[in-house]
Formats: sequence, C-alpha cells, structure tokens
Amino acid sequence: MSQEVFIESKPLREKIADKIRADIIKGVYRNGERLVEPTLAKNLGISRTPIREALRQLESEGFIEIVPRRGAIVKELTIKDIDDLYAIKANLEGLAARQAVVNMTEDQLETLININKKFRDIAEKNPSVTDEYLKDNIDFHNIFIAASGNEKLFDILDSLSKNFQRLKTMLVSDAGRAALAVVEHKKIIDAFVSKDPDLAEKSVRNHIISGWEFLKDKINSN
Amino acid sequence: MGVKDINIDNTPLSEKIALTIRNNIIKGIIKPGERLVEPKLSEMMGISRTPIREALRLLEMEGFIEIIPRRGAVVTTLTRKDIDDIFVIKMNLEPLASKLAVSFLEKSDIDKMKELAVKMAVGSSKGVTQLINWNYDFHNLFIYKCNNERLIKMLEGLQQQFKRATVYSFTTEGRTRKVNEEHDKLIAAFEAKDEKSVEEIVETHVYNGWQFIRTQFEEVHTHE
Repeated sequence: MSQEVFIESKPLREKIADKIRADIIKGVYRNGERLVEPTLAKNLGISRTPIREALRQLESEGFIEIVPRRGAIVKELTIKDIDDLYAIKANLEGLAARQAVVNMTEDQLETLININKKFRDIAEKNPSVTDEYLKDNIDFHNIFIAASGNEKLFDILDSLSKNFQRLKTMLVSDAGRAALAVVEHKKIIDAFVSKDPDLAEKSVRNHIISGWEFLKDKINSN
Repeated sequence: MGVKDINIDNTPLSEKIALTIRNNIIKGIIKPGERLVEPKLSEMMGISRTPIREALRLLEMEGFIEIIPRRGAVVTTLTRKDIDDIFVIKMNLEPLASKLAVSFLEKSDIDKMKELAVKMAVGSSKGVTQLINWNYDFHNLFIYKCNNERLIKMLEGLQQQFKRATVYSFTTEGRTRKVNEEHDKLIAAFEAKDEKSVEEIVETHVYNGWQFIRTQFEEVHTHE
C-alpha cells in the first residue's frame, strides 16, 4: 500500500503543482497569501503528503516561499509581469539575432542545426524528457545571443532569463509546443543561413512571442 | 563644527567633486586607466576624504571609473565598441517604451514635454549639465509612462551607462538644435497618438544621437 501511494504520488504531485501554479499566475492566490496544507487538502480532496511535495516543487520554481512557522507564502508573478518580461525578451533576443547574422561562424551554425535535430527527435519520440530539452533550448538561444558580440546585451538577457526559471517547467512539458519550437528554430536557422538580418530578427521575435502565447493559453485553460 | 554641519554639505559637495572629475575624464585631462588616489585628490582640492569617496562611488555607478580592490579607483576605458553596444540596445528598448507610452500619456505629461522643449531651445547659462538633465527629464516623461516596470528599470540601469556617452551630445551647438527639432516632432506624434511614428521618431532620434556621439568620440580620441 505504501509503495502504491509512493508511485501514485508523483504524477499527483505534479498535477497539484500545475493547479496551484496556474492559480498563482491567474491571481486566484494573492501575493503574500498563505497556502495552508490542511485547507488545500480539504479543497482538493487529496491527502496532505502529495500537497506537501507539490509545495516543495513550487518553492524550487520560485512560485512560493516556505517560511518557518508560517508555512507556504505566495510570491507574486502576474500575467502582466510575464507579458512585460516577454515584450523585452522578444525585442532584445530579436536584436541579438540581427547582430549575430554578421558574426555567426560555420561551426556555430552547425551546432544550431544539430541541436534542432536532437530537438526534433525528443519532440517525436519522448516528449517527457524535459530536462535535456530545456538545456538544449538554452544552448540554442545562447549561441546566437553570444554571436551578437554584444556583451552588454548578453548580460542583460542573462539576468532576464532568471525571471523565466519559474516558467520553464510549464513551457516545455508539452509535446505539441516542442514540435512547434522545432519548426520555429528551423526558420531561425534558415535566416542565419541566408544572412538576412531582418528575417533573423523577425523569426526570433515570432518564436518568443509564440512561446508566450502558448504559455498564456495553458495558464488560462488550467 | 558639529557633525550636522558636515552632513549638510556632503551631498552637493560630493556631486560637485564628481562633476569636476567627470568633466576632466570627458575632456581627456584624466586618461583611461589612470588611478584616482583619494588622499591625492583630497590634497589637490583641499577637501576631506569622505565626500571624495562618495563622489567616486557616484562615478562608479555612472561607469566612469571602476573601483578595484587594492588598486582603488581606476578610470574606465570607453571604447567605440562600448558606445555601439550600449546604443544598439537603447535604440531597441526606447522606441518600445515610447510606443507603449502612447496610450498612457496624459495631456499634463505632454505639456511638461513642451515646457522642457522650450527650456532646451532657449538654452541654459548653466551649460551642458543643465541641458543633459532637461533632456533626461524629457525622455523619462514617456519612459515612465510605458506601463512596463521591468522595462523602466532596465532603461534606468542603462541610463547610467549612457550618461558617459551622451555627454558628448550637448557639447556643441549643432546637435542640441537637432535634438530640439526631433523632440518637437516627437511631441506632435504623441499628441496625434500615432504609435508607429512615435516609435520611428524615437528610433531615429536615438540613432542620430549615436552617430553624432561616434563622430565626437573619434575627434576626442584622434587627438591622443
């Protein structure tokens, strides 16, 4: 029995985390609000153990803070916050791509192509391997950001990316989105191959906006 | 003399010191890589070390100097690439802020922009520093109304680095007049609530400033 619970609790924990995370982003829970385990257990009709696990997961993602003697406290991140972040990210990564067109080496281009091949395989065969996908995705973006040759831009985007940490699990846990990302990455690669700065900027912007649109739909439907 | 007396004078004094050092860096009297030694500055200016330390901290925030452990304050090198890197980001983010601000700017904001434009056109006996501040206020009027907190913070952070470069813009009459013309155009576009032209005008405005600074920068640096 205990083993059964243990096996069951893993997907359950994630389901609970998904629900609470979406509620935080939608503003159902306010900034600073306490998430009380027994209350959540009663509301969701679930035992406290998976809830405690879900809360721990959300803490590691930065959505809540577990304060001694007070319990789980919601840390605010609204849709408006994410909208604001993505507007800047789309602009600056687009700019990085534009600047990267001139500097991109054959080796870098080949790395982009290889990462995207790996991506496609993951998206087709095993969409649940998200950690690997995530790392590759970061690499893909960092290659052209670094190729921009603009260190200040690299630093700004690096510090901006920390704000997205808490969103990453939502963004890639979907096979459909992964498949779409492969297509969008291909467009970016094509723009670099044809050395077209306008197209490079536009395709990166569209890719980032499309990621955010996907995420927003997912938040709103949860 | 009480502690209070010293404190009252500290803030403006440290800013005055920063202004003197900043001008000397811009004019090339103090060269990149040169060390600024607190006791020496204190002796030269006949001022105690505390406000000097504060002035150095201000200049560090603005990117004019770097404070290195065991070496002290060293004047940073502003390369042409630094200028290009900073301006290409500014040229990307400021038009975005201006476009977003179109629907949030109120009549009172536009009136303030007009006031500042008049002040800048008339000019200032106080010279470059005053013009830079008015220009800064003018730009902040729409930046603060973009309704994107992160973008505001980011542009504020960059502003400190621009300062080092934008100083060049107001050192000669020519660009100041151009700046005023461009500001007038921008005000008209804001009044018409025309997002597309607002964005384009700001982009051109930043671009022109960048190109001007490049020529000024090269003039200063070919004399070395």
